[in-house]
Amino acid sequence: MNGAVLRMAFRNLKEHRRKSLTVGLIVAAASMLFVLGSSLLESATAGLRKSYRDRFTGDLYVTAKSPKKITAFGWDDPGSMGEPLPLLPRHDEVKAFAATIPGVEALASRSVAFVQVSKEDSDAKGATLLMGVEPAEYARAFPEAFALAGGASFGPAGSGLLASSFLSRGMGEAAGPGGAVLLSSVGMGSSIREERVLGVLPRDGANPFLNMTSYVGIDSVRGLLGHYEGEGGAAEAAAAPAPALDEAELFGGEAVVEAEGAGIDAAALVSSLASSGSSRLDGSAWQSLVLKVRSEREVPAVREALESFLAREGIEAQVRGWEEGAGMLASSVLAMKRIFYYVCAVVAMVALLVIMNALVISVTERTGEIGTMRAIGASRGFVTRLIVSETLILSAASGLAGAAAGAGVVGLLSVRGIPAGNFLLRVMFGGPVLRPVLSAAAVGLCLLAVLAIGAAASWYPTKVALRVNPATAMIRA
Amino acid sequence: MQNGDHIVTLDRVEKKYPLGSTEVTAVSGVSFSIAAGDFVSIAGPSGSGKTTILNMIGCVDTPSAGLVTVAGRPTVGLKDDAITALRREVLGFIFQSFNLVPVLTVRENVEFPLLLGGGRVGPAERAWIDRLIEEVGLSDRRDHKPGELSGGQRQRVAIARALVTKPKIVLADEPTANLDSKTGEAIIRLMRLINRELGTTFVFSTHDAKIVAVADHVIRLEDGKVAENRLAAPAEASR
Repeated sequence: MNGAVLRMAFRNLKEHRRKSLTVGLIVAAASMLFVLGSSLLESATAGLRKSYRDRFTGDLYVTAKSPKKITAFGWDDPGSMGEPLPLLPRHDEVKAFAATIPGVEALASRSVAFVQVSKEDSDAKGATLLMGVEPAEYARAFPEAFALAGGASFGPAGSGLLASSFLSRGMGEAAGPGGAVLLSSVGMGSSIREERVLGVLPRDGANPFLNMTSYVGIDSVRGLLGHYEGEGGAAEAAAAPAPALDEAELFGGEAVVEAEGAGIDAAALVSSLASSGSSRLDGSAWQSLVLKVRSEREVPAVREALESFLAREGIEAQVRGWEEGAGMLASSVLAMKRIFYYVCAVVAMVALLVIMNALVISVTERTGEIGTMRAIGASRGFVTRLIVSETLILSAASGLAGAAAGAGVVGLLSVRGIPAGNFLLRVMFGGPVLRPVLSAAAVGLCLLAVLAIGAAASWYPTKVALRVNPATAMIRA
Repeated sequence: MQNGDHIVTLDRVEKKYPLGSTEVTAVSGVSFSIAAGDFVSIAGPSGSGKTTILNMIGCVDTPSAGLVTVAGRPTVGLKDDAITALRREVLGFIFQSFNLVPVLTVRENVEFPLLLGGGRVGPAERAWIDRLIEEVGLSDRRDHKPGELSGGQRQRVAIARALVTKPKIVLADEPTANLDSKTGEAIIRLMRLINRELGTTFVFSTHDAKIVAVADHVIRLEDGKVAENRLAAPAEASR
C-alpha cells in the first residue's frame, strides 16, 4: 500500500506540475542559499579560527575574573588599551592542573602590554602589542607564531624582540634585525626597556590586527608592567626610596633608561633599576594561560574540567573560548553568522507558509477525489499518508536539488576564490581570498530542515483533507 | 419483505439537514428491506431523497433518526474505522460522475480498493482484476488514464472498481445520468449481468423509467417518503 501511496503522490505532484514547480523552486532556492551561505560563513569562521587559534588564542584561555571582557590581545574595549590586564591568580597551580587534563595538546603562559617603540638617535617611532612569553614553551604551543620574514628567532636565553611586520614597516631599518629599540609602556608610568631586535615577523594577509603583534621574553613585559616579587608592582616600586645607584648600570648597563630626548626621569630610572636586578621580577606573574586542545570535539570537556577545578579551588579566574579571545572582529563575524541563521529561520517560516498554502489549495481542488477515496474505503491514515508523502517528496526533491545547486556554487567559488576587497572582508574571510569549503553539516541540516518544514506544512492540509465528508464529495463530484 | 435474507434494512429512517436557522427534512419515516441478490431501483423525481437514502445505506451519511442495518450490522454509532472497513469490505460504489482517480490508469483504478484493504495483490487478485476489465470491455484501455476515456468507458471502469473487492452490495447513484441513452442502457445491462452471475446486490437510484423497468425491486420515493415498494413479476424482472 505504501508503494501505491508513493505512486499516487508522485503522480499528483506531476499532475499539478505548475503548483509543484512553484513550491519546489521556492524550497530549492532557499536550500541553495542556506547551503551556500552556511558554507561561506563556516569557511570564513574556519579561516578566522585558524588565524587566531593557531597563533594567539589557542582553543581556550584562562585569565583573572573581570567585569570587563578580556581578549587574547588585552581589554576588548579599545579605550582601556593602556591599562594592564590583571594577573592570573595562582597561575602555577592552574597550569599544573591544566597539563593533566586529557585532550590538552599544549599550553603556554602569556602577558601582554601595549608599548611605544623608539630608537636612540633616531626619529623613528612606532607602537606594538607586546606579547611576553617563554619562547621555547610558546614555540611548542604555537609553531607558526615565530615564523620569520627576516632575522633570527629567540636564542636559548630567550631575550630580544621579534618585531611585528607593522612595526618593521613603520620604523624601517630602525626596527630591523640587529638594532636595539626602546620599549616604553603606555599608560603605566614610564617604564622603559631596551631590547635588541632579533627578527621580523611576516605580514599576515588574513588580519591586519595580527600584524601589530611583537614577541619578547616574559621578563621584559614583567619589567614594563612592574611585576616584582613581594611588591605591589611598578607603582610601589616608583614610590619606594631610590636604591643606591651604580654608575656603570646607569650609563653603560643593558637597560637604558633615558627616554628619547627627555633626559633622565626619576620614575623611569627606578623602574629600570628594579628590572636590572635591584628588585626581583615575579617569576609566577602571568596574565593568561592559553590551551590548545587535541580536537575541537574535546574542547567542551576540557573547559568543563578547568572550570570545575577553578570553582573547587576558589580561584578567581575564568575560562574563555577562542571566539571571545579573538575579540570584537571575530565577534562581529560570529554575530553575522547568527543573524544569517535568524534570517534562514524566517525564510523557513515563509517557505512553510507557502507550501502549506499551496497544499491547502491543492486539497481543496481535490475534495471530490479525496471524498471518493474515503467513500470506497480509504482510511484517515491513508489520506494522511498521501498528503504527507506529497509534501515530503516535494520538499525532499527540491531540498536536494537546492542543496546540490548550492554545493555546485560552493565548488565553483572554491576554485575561483572570492577576493576580499577591503579590510573588513579580509578579517571576515581570514585572508585575502576566501575559498569556501562545502559544509557537510549545512547540507545535512538543510535536508533535515526541508523535511521538517515539509512535515509541518502538511499538518493543516491533512486536517482539511480529513474534514472532507465522503457524502459531500459525492455531491460535488 | 422482512426475513433473514435481507441485506439492507431501513427502519423509520429520517434525515434532516440544517439550512440556516431552520431544518430541511430530506427523508422521513422511510422503512424498507432489500433482499440479498436483488437488483433494486430507488426511483423518484429530483429532490425526493434518493441520494440521501443511498448515502445512508453506503454509510457516508448517518440518519437523524431511525435505524439502518447493512449486512446485519446497524450503522448508527459505528466509529470511523469500523465504518471505513464496512464501506471497503461490504459495499461498492458507482457514482454519477464516475469519480475515478485521475492520476491512476484503468487497471490501477480497478486495483485501488484492494490496496486500501492493506492486502497483498497476488496472482489471484491480478487475474480477477483482468477478468473484470475484460467483462466491462476495456482490455485494450487498461493502461489509459480516465482523461483518455469516454463517459461510458469511465463508468465501466467505475463498475469494475466497485466489484473488485467482491462486495455484497453495489450502490449506484444515477449511474446513467451523465451518459447518452444507448451507453446508459449498455451500462444497466452490464450491471444486470453481473448481478445475475455474481449474485451481487445492486441498489441504484434513477429517475429514468426505462431503467426502473429492468429492476426486480422498485422503491419509489416522493417528498422523502416511500410512495411505492414493489417486487417486479418474475417475467418482468428477467428482462
